[in-house]
Amino acid sequence: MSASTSGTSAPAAASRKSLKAFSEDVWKNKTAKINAELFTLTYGSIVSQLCTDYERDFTRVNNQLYSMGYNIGVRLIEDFLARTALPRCDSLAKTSEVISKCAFKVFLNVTPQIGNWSSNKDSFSIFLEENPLSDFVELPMDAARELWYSNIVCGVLKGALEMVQMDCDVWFVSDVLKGDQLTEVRVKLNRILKDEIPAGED
Amino acid sequence: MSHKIINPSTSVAQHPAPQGYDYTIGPQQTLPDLPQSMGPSSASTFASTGISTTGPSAASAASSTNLASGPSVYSSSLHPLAHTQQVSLAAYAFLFQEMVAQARNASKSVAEIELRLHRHGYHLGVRLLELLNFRSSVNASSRSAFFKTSTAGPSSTSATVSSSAPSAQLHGYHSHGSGDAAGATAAAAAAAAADDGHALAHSISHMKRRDLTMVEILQFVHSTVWTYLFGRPSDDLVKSSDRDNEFMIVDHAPLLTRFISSTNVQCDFFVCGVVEGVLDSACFPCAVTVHSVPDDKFPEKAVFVVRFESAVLEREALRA
Repeated sequence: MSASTSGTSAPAAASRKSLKAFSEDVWKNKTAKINAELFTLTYGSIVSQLCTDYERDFTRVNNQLYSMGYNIGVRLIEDFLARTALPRCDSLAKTSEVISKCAFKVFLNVTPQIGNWSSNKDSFSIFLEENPLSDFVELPMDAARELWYSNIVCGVLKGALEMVQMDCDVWFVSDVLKGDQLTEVRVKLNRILKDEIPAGED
Repeated sequence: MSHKIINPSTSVAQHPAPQGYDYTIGPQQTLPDLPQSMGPSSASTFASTGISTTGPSAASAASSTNLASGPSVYSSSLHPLAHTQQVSLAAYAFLFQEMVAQARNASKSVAEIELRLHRHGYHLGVRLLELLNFRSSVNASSRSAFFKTSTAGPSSTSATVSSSAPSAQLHGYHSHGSGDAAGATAAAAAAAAADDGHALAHSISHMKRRDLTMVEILQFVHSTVWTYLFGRPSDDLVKSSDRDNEFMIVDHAPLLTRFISSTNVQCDFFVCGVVEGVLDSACFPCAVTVHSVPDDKFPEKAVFVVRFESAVLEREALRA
């Protein structure tokens, strides 16, 4: 996505090997790992604490999860680029591929499917078959109607994509926790942001 | 707030088999083969009044919420191989950081932040004890049989179908499928479970003996819990020379707070919460605190101090 480190050998290696093998390699050899259940349980504890704090106002919980995700995303992209040194994506199709095969793999060790492209190719869906955030989770009845349990993912994608100059809307369409067949996250590209020089830097 | 009211179980009769945990009612038996029906209107009734007024009319509207079609959490496997096993430490560190930030924004003092982190961890701890004991009860031979079944297929399942009565009971909670498995015999359930290679319960013939003394349970925390959480046992387990009820678990480089530079907030209170949750649910009421004790070799060194309540000491004296 960013070309800041394109002089190194990693991007060349990435183009030779398939993206999938490349991210498999990054995951296996360059990533410190931690028990996924600890991650799952910690996230569950955060969500349930938010529900209590906001007195089960799930709209606020959704928004809070989203903004937590956003905060993560704007920093996570740095870590991602440092780890993978991938070059800038030339199309949204490429971006979607990097998100599913590389980003999700490197951070959460899952590879969601991409599909459901809009006709003008500006939006796509991510289908999370496995979701480490929501293992072992069953929503109480009132929460099942309004709460997007894994909403933090949307925020992360939004924040991360914004940092590589892509202004996107990201939202959940369906979630298996709510009884839907699939967990679907929709990403819609609004515009490409221009690099702007911060005020006073000129 | 209405949601703090927990209704007595008399209200259960008015519910035509709701699915999932309803916090206004408390724990209920949910069987996979019962007809699932819970209307959206009834859910909102709980939320607004805390009083259950669900009638058959609400149940008939249940088709609009397709909760029943989702896989129940009770039918998913507890086996460590059945789920994503690991995520990156970076992902966890980001999440942990947001948790700390959230705790900070919601608190007025340092003690309150630490209390919140402690509470987060506590929720984990009370769940861990059961899970880890359950998993460590899977003995080595059946474990290897499991690995064979998951790779080689049904040909090697015979070794695992040796269920005795207690394991047959466990099948009930882990029976697969949408309902008919619940009524099946233990042997059939065991065979079915062995076939798909995911049920763990059927390979347990004896549950591991519970830890009854302070030292035993602390060794469980020191080795099993620590290995589960951080991939290695803790660095030391020390008994205080001054006080009988005081023990110390030493970690030279706490994994979770690796990326947090030293501040006046001890983020390791999260781990304290986990330890206290485990000990509490094992009936060892205690208070756990953490102190950072940097030395030359290990600048990040943290000591978790466990102080048992006097009742635990008394009980131990009685047993001796």
